[in-house]
Amino acid sequence: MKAIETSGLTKSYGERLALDGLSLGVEEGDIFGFLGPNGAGKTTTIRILTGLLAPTDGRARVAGMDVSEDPRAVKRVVGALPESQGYYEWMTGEEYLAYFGKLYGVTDPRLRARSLLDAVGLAERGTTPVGGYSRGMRQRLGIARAMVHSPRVLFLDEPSLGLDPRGQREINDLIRRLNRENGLTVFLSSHLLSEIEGLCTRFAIVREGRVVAEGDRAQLEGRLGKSRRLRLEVSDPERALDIAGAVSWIRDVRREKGAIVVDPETDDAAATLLKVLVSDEIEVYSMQRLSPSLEEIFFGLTEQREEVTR
Amino acid sequence: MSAASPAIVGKSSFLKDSLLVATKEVKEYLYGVRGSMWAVLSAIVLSLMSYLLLTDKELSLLDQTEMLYIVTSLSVGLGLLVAGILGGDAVAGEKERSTLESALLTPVNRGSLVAGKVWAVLAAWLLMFAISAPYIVVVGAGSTVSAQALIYTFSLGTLCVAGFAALVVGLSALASSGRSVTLGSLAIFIGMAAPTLLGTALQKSWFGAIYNAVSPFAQVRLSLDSVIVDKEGLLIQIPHIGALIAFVALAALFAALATRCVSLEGGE
Repeated sequence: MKAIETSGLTKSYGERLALDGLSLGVEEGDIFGFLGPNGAGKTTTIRILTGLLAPTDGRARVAGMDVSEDPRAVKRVVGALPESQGYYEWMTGEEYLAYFGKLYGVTDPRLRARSLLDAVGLAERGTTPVGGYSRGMRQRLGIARAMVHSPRVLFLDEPSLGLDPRGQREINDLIRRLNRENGLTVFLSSHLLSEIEGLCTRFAIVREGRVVAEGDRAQLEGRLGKSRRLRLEVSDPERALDIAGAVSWIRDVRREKGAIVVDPETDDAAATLLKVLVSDEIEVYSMQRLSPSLEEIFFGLTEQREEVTR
Repeated sequence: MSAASPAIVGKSSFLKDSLLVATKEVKEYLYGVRGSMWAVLSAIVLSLMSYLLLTDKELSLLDQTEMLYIVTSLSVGLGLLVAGILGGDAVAGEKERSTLESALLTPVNRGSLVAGKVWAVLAAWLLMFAISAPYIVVVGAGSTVSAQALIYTFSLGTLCVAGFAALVVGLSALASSGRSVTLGSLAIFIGMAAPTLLGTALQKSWFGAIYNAVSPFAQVRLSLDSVIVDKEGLLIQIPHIGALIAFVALAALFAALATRCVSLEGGE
């Protein structure tokens, strides 16, 4: 059984179409990256999947339950951290979690609150008012709140937004740990591609309310086509940089540690470039075709979609 | 890592959930400046009014029952004012502070959330009444209607504030700005209290009669006047009490309908 399954999901706000027949599937236990530019429909999708919004059309099932038929039952098995999460500033972390524990009907909410605070590394701040928490601490508290009823699927909408690199890493480590130790399915929406790249096992790229690509990293690369970027280790990187920079069919060339990275316009550029460098008496120690980064895949696929739309 | 041990989740009920929300709201009033400030201000207003009634050369010439009527009306008026301010912020304020989404993500139904806010405003009224009670006792000391003044202020005030709280919390559920609902509720309050500002001739005209008939606060005042000043019995109060019960029922219906519209602003 898939943890999340949507088919032709559509949502319109008056004239504006936020989701346009969005279809995707998430396997149980996955950390699923849901990528898209601002306004792509990520938050609307999460709100529908968590039972907050009713779709205009289409179907969505979470943990085997139809979100339109029984949103309250869905809410019992999902947890979510919204993008802009507010807190009751006057409550302590423990009171905050215990309050939500009570709303979910958790038995012994205080005990549950303390164990969650411990799990997210806030045990020592549990008796401090939330008003004094840093942004990173608030995000961890928000994740603990989303976990208070032991959900099967966790939705995180831009969990690292506004965090410094250390805070981002802490959140990512926490997500990995929750996924590994609880077998939790995590649906992670973000536009911070570097953050998602090392965290997610599968991805969907969404644009203008539609999924433009879905799959694991290799499948997305396959959708984009073979990468043309080359990394060359050479005897004289400075001169190689100048030579490659002067070649008309090379779009971009840059220095990367002791090597140069070139981005040619054609697939057969490797052999020609090799000849050019050797003829200029530059020794080439190694030449390697680079995999595209998630960012390149993202831009490649969303630009392809734009061209198709045009 | 204790997050790995799953939570045991029990069943929820409308009453239990709404009381949970109400308890949280009351604590928020008490911890925050909002609730405690209004309690202090109300005590100051009641103190000033009682002092003037007892010491001012002209006001002290009033009959004791007239003084008692003024203090009891003022007590209910202050209760309505505080209900408008607290209730206006109840749902719309949570939207503004982005705390509503977390609550809506829980399986608690929206009716329980809104009802909890109304209970909390009623709890604030109980505090207001507790503050007013000593003033009513002192001003009415020695009078034969002192006990009736307390009982009627409590019961009529509770009905009037309950209806007003449901109305304002319902408006708050529909709106996205707590401040605009608070201003709107103050306008409604002024509208309800306006008959007290009408001159005697206007009060006795058809205009005053209509105004008094549709204003729940006017019904409270007319009933208090009847009980305290005219020393009339319970039977005479039935039309006023009936009008207040009708007001509560209509306001509760409005709040229940508004509950269906509790939603977040459109996402991306």
